[in-house]
Amino acid sequence: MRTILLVEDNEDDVFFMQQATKDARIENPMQVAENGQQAIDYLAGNGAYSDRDKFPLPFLVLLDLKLPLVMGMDVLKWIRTRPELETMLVVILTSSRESRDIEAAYRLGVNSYLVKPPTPEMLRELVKSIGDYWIVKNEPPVGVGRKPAA
Amino acid sequence: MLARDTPIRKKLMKIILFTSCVVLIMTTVAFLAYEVLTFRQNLTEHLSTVGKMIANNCNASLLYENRKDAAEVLSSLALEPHIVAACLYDTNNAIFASFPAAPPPSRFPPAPAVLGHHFENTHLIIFEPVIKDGKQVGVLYLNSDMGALFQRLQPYGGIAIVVGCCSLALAFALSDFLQRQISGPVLSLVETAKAISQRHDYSVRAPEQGKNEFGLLTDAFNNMLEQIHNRDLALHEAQQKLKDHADDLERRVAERTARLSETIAELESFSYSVSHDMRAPLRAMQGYSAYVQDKYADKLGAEGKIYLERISRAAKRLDTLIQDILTYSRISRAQLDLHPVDLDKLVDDIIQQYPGLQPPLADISIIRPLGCVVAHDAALTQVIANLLGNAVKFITAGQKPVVKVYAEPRGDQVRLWVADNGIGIAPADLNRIFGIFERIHPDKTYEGTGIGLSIVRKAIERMNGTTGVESELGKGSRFWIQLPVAQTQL
Repeated sequence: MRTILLVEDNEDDVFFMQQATKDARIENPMQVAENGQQAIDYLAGNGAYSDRDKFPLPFLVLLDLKLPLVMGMDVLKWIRTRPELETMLVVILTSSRESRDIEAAYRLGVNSYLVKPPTPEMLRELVKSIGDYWIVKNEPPVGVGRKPAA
Repeated sequence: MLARDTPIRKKLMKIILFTSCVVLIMTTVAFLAYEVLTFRQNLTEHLSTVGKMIANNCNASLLYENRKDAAEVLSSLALEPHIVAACLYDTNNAIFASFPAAPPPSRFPPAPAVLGHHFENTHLIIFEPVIKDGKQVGVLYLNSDMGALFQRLQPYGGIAIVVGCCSLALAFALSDFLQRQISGPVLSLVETAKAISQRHDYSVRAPEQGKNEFGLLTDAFNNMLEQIHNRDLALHEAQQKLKDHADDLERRVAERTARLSETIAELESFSYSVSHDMRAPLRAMQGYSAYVQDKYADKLGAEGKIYLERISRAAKRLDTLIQDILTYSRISRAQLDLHPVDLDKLVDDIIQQYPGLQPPLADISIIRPLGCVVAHDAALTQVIANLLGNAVKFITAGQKPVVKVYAEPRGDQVRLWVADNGIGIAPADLNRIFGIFERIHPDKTYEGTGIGLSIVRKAIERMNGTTGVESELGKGSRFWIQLPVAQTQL
């Protein structure tokens, strides 16, 4: 099962996402990074994260924008400068539809931009469509996040 | 002779020389005339004397008809070089003797004229009676030319020319010297004026000139300069002040702009932070309420459910409010790129998006075509969605909203009307409804944040349009927005 990395500092949102994935019957393991620096460390395999059995490289990163230490946009920028992560699927999942954020994110090469819905029900719907689209239907690039051979 | 452009020096010299010439000529003419008159008088006297002498000498010859003696007497006239002809007439008026002895007969008048003298051309003619013993025995004719006069006048003429030339030379020298008295001050004024106009130095003064008219002129000129100088100084001072003021203003504008930019930046980061951080707790409130309702429904009881429902609704209202404020602030500051927008398609899309705008909940009819306007797609969508939303929202309970959307051209603009059958707006409220947070209905009847129409007005303003409303309480409202028409067909 390919891993999903959720970069989210708000524990409520982490809880809702975990509930929503469960409710949407997505069985992929979900790792959580609580801030931007942790996300970078995870992806780079720094320190404890070098253990790829325990912390496998994710095929999909769900990235919040407003994060402590390193902002989501900087995490995205960092990802896109790393040759081995260049093609990694990154989906922004954030609170606001600020047009400058949307513009900047796409300029930095994000794959999708989603806004957190207000109710659990709507979140479940959103997570379901993420699973349906990015996990089932989408053909990911070669390299990181490659689907296991059928 | 005195052309307008002639310099004053030459003019003055010409005037003096001309006057001198005229005086000189007049004097010469008068002198010559006097000379001529005197000469003629002397000549007449002299010739009369000669005539009387000749007449006395030949009266006997005439009486006794001695032609030889008479001729001899007449021949003595050869001593008078200017006498060109002379003759004696007898009592029969026939020529008795003549001088010269054998002249052409045409030289003498055929008969003696009136006695006395007279001038004929350049000749003096005298007829003198010849008297013997108190009885006239004949007439003597004498003809003298005026050669002597011209002989005498010749040196005079020479002298006159020499004196004239000398006088003119002297007059020229004098005029050249004297004209400076007049032209000097004028030229010095001119020089001063020139210097001022070239250098714009109003502190220069014309040199003092005494107390005559030039002095007065110079004083007046200097006074004028003084005034100009003062005004110039005042003007410079005023300009400097103005410049200082402008600089000061510019500096203050720059300062305020900087402060304003700072404030705007702060506001932006504030609204950014609002949109991210303030919504998260609301989501949590809604989320946990939903989970509690979901998973612990059996333990809640009816009242508990209601309270949870209220928490959830309050959170939702606050979330809507935050979103509306964010929309308003976004529309106020975002750059709105304007393009042609097809109103028919835009309105269709909006209605399709919101079930509340469709039958059976609402009856919205569109009178086509609505046309194309120059606008920002997303902002205009927001505007029309707000207007349609209001049109179906503010309705008497139990009534079905009937909304009409139509457009009319207004010069180079299009006015889009949204007319409803709703509760209408009291005249006193018409001006308030576009203000931010203005709500004219109590919360419970019609839910809302009071920002919808502010967004409409702000967005339309930012798209170079205008907006307004016509309404009467109980008779529905007719909201309109007006935007520049798009020339290019989509």
